[in-house]
Amino acid sequence: MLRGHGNSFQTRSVLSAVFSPDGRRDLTGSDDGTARVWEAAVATELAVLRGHGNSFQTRPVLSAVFSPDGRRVLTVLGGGTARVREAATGAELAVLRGHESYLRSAVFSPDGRRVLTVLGGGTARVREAATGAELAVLRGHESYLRSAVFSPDGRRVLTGSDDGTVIATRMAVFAIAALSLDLILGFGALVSFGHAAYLGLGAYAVAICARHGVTDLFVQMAVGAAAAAAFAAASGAISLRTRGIYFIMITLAFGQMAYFFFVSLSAYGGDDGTALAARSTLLGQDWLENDTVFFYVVLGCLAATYGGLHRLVNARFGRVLAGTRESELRMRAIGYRPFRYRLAAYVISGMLCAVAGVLLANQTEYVAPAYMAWTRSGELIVMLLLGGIGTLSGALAGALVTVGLEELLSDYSEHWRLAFGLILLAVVLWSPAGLTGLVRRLRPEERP
Amino acid sequence: MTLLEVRDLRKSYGALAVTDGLSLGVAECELHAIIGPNGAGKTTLIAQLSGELAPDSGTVRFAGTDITRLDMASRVRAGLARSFQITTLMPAMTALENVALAVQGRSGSSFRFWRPVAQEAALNDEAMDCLAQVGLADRAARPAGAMSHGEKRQLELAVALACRPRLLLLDEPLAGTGPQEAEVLVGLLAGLKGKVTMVLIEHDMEAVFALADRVSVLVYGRIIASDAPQEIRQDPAVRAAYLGGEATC
Ligand SMILES: Nc1ncnc2c1ncn2[C@@H]1O[C@H](COP(=O)(O)OP(=O)(O)OP(=O)(O)O)[C@@H](O)[C@H]1O
Ligand SMILES: [Mg+2]
Repeated sequence: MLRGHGNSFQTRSVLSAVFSPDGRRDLTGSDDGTARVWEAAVATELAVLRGHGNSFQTRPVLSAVFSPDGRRVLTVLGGGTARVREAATGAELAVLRGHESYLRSAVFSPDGRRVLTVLGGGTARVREAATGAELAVLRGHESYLRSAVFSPDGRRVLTGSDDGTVIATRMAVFAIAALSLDLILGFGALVSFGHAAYLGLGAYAVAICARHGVTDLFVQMAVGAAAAAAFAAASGAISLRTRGIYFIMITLAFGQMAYFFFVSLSAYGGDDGTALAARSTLLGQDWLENDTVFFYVVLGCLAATYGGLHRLVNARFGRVLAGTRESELRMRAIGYRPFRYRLAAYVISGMLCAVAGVLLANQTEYVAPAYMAWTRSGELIVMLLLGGIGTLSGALAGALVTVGLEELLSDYSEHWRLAFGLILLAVVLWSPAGLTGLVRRLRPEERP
Repeated sequence: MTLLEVRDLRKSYGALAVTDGLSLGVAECELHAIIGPNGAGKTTLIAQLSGELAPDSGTVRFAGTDITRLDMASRVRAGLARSFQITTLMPAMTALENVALAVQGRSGSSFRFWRPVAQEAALNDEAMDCLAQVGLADRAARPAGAMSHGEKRQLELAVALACRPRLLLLDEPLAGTGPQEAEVLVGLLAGLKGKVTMVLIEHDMEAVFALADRVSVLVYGRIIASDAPQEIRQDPAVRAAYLGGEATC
């Protein structure tokens, strides 16, 4: 076993590990900013390649590979540079700079003379290993590039990217989650800051069901929705007795409770979560393994959610819910008890979000407490702010634009959240009713 | 027959006794006006009668049953509706929707998730009747928030009527209205007289003496006089405590 990444307080993750071409040495890259060369057989540390980053911030070493002759090492930092170093001494031979976006990976060509780097955007570059000089830029990837490798003869390059289907699926999944939140936040004026908990409940329903041999998608959805309903009923019965900032804080607290519950669930990977062996099944068939089929299933769920909510908000229940948002006192004065309608909406909303969670787990084939982090709850609120709170089309638009911008902006910079924040600020300042409000304003003839 | 009977009602905010051993009887079908200076505790009384506020002690009996412990919703079901001194409507909803929501409150379950409520003819027809009753039939499709102040006061009345009350608690229905708007509202209240029992709180003396069958005077949380309007006008205690030097207005 190769130990020694980190200190006694915190063990750092090993982000990559590869054998040298002769198989006698090991190279590991870690988020403590070092790469280490080990003797594979006895796990003796042969060299520590330091100097990745500055004294204020250590940048993680995302990947580290040997050159084909095993004499050099190529490391990629969590930034825009890659370095070629001597494996034996750690001496820096070349620094490959000038990547306008962050680097995902870098590999040597089979002859060891060139390096192929992959950016967080849609481009890959071929560079000279000795000097870092750029030999070719490979553009034209319509979406997220994940990795690139040389062909064995070193003359061609194979790139792999997320295709549009995957992104569209993510959009649809988050649209369901945003719609579910809009029911309570938009139509009920209940600002829940713990809504991601339901996303997580749905996701864990998949992992837990699968572990027990239940792989059917709809059964998993039913289990996830039932768990969400129970959690929503219990937490809502308490939180819905409060208003305003207290409600926000209590929903946040319940969300964190759910988060830490799953962190403590070591059977399912604790903090790290757990990968799914496979996607859920439909009628016992593994049709969802096909991304396109899976996308259409998610799209169907989105359509059903949208349609169902459209009926709901325009039915008796929806009008009562809107009434409680407009004036609770007036509602009581005409004979309603707002609490029971709010609780019902809260439960329905949680169940729908759990369905989104089931789909999210299937999309990523991975389940972790991170799905229910409070930041994720915040992201759902941001989607509504961006799209327009209190309209179904706003929730839909918000989710599509947020996921789309995330994909687009993260292609250009690792600091994409900053740009996203500025866009959000501009939209909210310019049009408090979000993007859909903007559309309505630009088409005044459609105003009733 | 006494429809509403209040006995020894008390409510204090700290040291301030806002309702201070108040007793009151309202006969079926009468229009019972309650007058009193600002801060006398009139709105607080309405809040306790409607169930918005719980009294510290005392009892409220309605149609022979003790309703002191019932919440607002149960009292509305029992036939007690109110209007607000400060207009309390759903501003984003149309006038029709505001009233239809009140009709919906007493006609079947609201846990219905599928059928579009806007197409429920039974609700809309009854709501339309209520709007017509207060002269707002041609304003049905207007958002309440976009109506004039006088229209909002009329709509408050329509919403209360949509609850089909046996007793209507009206907290200054003329508050903030101009002379013409007030005239419309007084006409509406006159039209309702005899059809529904009303407790009317009002500062507009002209309106009070034109409408009331009986007038009670509330000062510092107590009823100091309760009588026919012409007797109240002459009552020296009332003149001193409330009508004061401007009694001739
Ligand atoms: N929640 C409260 N807390 C403390 N004091 C209150 C509260 N509500 C009312 N009061 C006080 O109780 C007194 C009676 O208030 P209330 O609103 O019942 O008067 P009112 O007779 O309706 O007056 P107006 O004619 O101005 O409407 C006032 O002095 C008011 O300041
Ligand atoms: Mg008052």
